Amino acid sequence: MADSALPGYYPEFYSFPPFFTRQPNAASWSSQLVQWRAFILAYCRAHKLWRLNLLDALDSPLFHNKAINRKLPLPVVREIITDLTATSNAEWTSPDKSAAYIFWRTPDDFATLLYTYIDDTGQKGTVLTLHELTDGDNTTDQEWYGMEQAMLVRCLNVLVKRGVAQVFSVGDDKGVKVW
Amino acid sequence: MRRRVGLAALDRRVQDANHWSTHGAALRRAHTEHLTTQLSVFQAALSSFAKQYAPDIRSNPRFRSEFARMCTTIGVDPLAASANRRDGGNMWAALLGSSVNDFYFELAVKCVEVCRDTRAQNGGLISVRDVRDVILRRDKAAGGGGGGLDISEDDVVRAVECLKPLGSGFELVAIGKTQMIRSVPKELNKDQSKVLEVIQVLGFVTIPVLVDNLGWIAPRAQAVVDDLLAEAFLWVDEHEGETSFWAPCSMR
Repeated sequence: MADSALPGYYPEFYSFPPFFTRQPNAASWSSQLVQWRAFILAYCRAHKLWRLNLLDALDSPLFHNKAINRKLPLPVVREIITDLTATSNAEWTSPDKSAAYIFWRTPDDFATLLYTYIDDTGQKGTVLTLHELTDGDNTTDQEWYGMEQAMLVRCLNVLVKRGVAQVFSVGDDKGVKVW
Repeated sequence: MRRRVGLAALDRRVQDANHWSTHGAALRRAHTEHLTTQLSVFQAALSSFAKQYAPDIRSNPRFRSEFARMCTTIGVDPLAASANRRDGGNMWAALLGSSVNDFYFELAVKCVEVCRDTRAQNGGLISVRDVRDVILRRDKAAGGGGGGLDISEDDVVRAVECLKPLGSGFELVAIGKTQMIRSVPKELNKDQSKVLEVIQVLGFVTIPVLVDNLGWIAPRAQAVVDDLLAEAFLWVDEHEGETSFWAPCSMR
């Protein structure tokens, strides 16, 4: 049943129809949840998907395996995303829980990456715009490239909390200074 | 021969008996010596064989299983033999070095790890093949090193068997044609095994399938399935109003 054409981050259970039904047994469900969490994060990372719109995602290969004609129901998706929010791997973007930011690395991890990058490139003490960080020519191969600004601010706020950065407005954009 | 009569006849009988027993003892001794020589020659041969092919025994699964089969045929268990290596130099441990024994013990540890890790998924029932695949995948992921170890299902079976003395509850069970490792101390009853067997053939079961094929009444089928669900041996699939049951341990 395993489909070798699928990328490596697809779990083996992806072709297992019960994977798309919430298991009533607590032990099975916890194992199922672990796999779904990992899969969602890996999928978003591979597709550079920062914001998951649940209704759209339901029809994407993430939650819909056409080969076996199975779809993960919306309430289950919501339950899994809610579980992701508990570990800072997701954040609802609206109170009706119809979309969420997906942090395949936690904001903490991204903050560390950002700090290391700024340090390595000798840009400490320089003001960088957020646009520069997410869409600049120098950051195309960085993992946060293309990240939504609101998410980037969340990550930078971690640095602010650590006392090594300051975020402020620069015209329409925002800027950050790290020291 | 002149027949002795009287008391001499008695003497002769005793003499004869003596002769026979000395002769018997001599024969036995010769026999023992012969066997001892044979055994030592055989030991030497096996020892040099094991030494010469140690790398092959370690790296080639087919070779290894043939070697193990050869040892079993002649009544030698290279694994059991190493158990009391410490008290006085066990012959086989000395002959084979620790490589063969340790190979299986290491493998046994890996089997235990895999069973543990996947227990939440499959309730503690996993096919020998899956265990092998996971171990191979992990070895590869661990840097492609590990001596490029290749293992066969046969090795896994042997490794699990050598866990038996520990009484750790790891047991090989045959379900249909597949060998499974059961790592939870739960006996499968006949009905449960039957259901798992049907799943192996069909991929999944539904209550009507069980009713039609096994001649069970629906409540019996439901009860068996509920039991298996509770043990996490089965997963439910709800699809378009139909409920079917699948076993993670026979996913492929």
